[in-house]
Amino acid sequence: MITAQRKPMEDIVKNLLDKKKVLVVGCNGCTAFHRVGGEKQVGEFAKLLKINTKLKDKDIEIIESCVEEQCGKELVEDALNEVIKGCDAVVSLACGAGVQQIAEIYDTIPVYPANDTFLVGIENRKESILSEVCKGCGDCILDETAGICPKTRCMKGLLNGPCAGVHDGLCELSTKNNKIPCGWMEIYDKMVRLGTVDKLLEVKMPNVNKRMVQLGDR
Amino acid sequence: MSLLRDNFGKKFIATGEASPPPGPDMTEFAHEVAEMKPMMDKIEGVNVVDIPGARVLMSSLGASIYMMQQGVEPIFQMTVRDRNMLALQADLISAATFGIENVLSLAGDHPACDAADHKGAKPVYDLDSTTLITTMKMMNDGKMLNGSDMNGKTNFFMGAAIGPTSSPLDGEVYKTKRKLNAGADFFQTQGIFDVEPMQNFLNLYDKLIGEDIASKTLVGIVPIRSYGMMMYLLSMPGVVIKDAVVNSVKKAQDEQKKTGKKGIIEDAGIDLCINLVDDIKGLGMKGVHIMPVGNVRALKAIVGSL
Ligand code: SF4
Ligand code: SF4
Repeated sequence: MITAQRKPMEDIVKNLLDKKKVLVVGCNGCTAFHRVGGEKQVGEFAKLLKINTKLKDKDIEIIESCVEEQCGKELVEDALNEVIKGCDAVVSLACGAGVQQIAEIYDTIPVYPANDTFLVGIENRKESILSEVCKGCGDCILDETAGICPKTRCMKGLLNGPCAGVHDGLCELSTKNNKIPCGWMEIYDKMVRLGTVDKLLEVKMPNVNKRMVQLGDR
Repeated sequence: MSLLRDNFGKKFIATGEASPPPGPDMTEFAHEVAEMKPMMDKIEGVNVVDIPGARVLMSSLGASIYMMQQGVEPIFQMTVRDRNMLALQADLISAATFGIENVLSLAGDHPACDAADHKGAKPVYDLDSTTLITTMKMMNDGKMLNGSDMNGKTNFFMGAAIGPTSSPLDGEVYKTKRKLNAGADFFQTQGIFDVEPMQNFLNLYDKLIGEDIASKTLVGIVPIRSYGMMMYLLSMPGVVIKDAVVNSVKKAQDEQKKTGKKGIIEDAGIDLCINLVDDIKGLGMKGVHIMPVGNVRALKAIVGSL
């Protein structure tokens, strides 16, 4: 699932100070699950936006709406074609894909993200945090790494880890307040449990000759 | 020609280390290199660090070429942090062209690590420390990483690092064996301050892999020069300094303060290294890698005691 987290309010408000009517659009997909983009959050966010723009002496009309999945073109058109009329900006509470879908459909209205998107993740890996687990690299190697992605969960994306920076099982980038488990030690431990740890003695090469960029789409 | 390759395993050897200058003024670095030159009959090479701690310095390739031209044999440290597989190979070809054969392959500290000075820099890590060795091995066979032919062969003597204080240590053991499988010719360890972490690593390596690794390994040691330097080292991830060592440096500091004499801590740091070298010899290691952090006097003293 796509993971996302709310941006600081001032980063959102700064884009809206010259607007008159703003459409706030949620998404009932991934960001609803992460409680940053669903219907309930649209209501809460709209209220906060109203207060924060008022504090800057701006009286902006705010319209609320929610799409089942903002990455779906038809779903967006069905939900927004009417309600977007007369709006001079959209704030999307979806992921980066949702924001771009709206931007593509409504060519003349600026769309602003309310969230920072962290690609594909799962909830609650160790504590109650969102953890990115897949970069959508287009060359999945989870079959070789005990179902744990080193490209994403190792902070250096090493194919042959761990690096020497691992300490007490934590990544060298951990801080006092942000303890990041070393992805490679997780792979190692899982391989020990699966009885496949000898696979770690083989050198894993990157895909040197595979064209990783999908030229048609990107 | 690689002195390091020629002498590795034949006697207990030593390598040194130098940091390229933090700007275009070469004066200090040139002086350091000039001081090391007469030592080349006692040390087998000098590591040239590659943007350590992700803090910008002159490139290790540029500084290695300079050293080579001055008659000091470089061990060109190469991290995979800042260059993709194209740039890494291009720099390896440049190194080979200038006669550099010793290369130490490293992952490199992440640009977002505490010590870094450009925390927003993009990390690359197209390859890792193991696959950079594979790349060099292919180049030694006249091939590029993509399998195509080069117009000649390189002659790299390929080194890799061991972190004996990583915890847990199991992953490091497996990775060391994998680097060996990739073709690593020798290893240098990160700095240790007493022999125990090295002993632990060797024991675990023997238990999990069942082979000797000591005969391919130079153990990293760091002469402590001041109390502040020790505290800085202690704040770095993976650095473990035992209380006994901390206390002896503290004692030297007290004495230095009391007597007003200079160099007492520095001498204590040198003595600690000289004693540690004896313990290291006892483990059957093939030499030491001395990281003097600009302290050429310490390098001379330790090398002189070997
Ligand atoms: S290897 Fe990792 S990033 Fe690539 S598709 Fe698989 S899980 Fe995603
Ligand atoms: S400590 Fe582990 S997760 Fe962090 S960069 Fe090193 S191998 Fe990757």
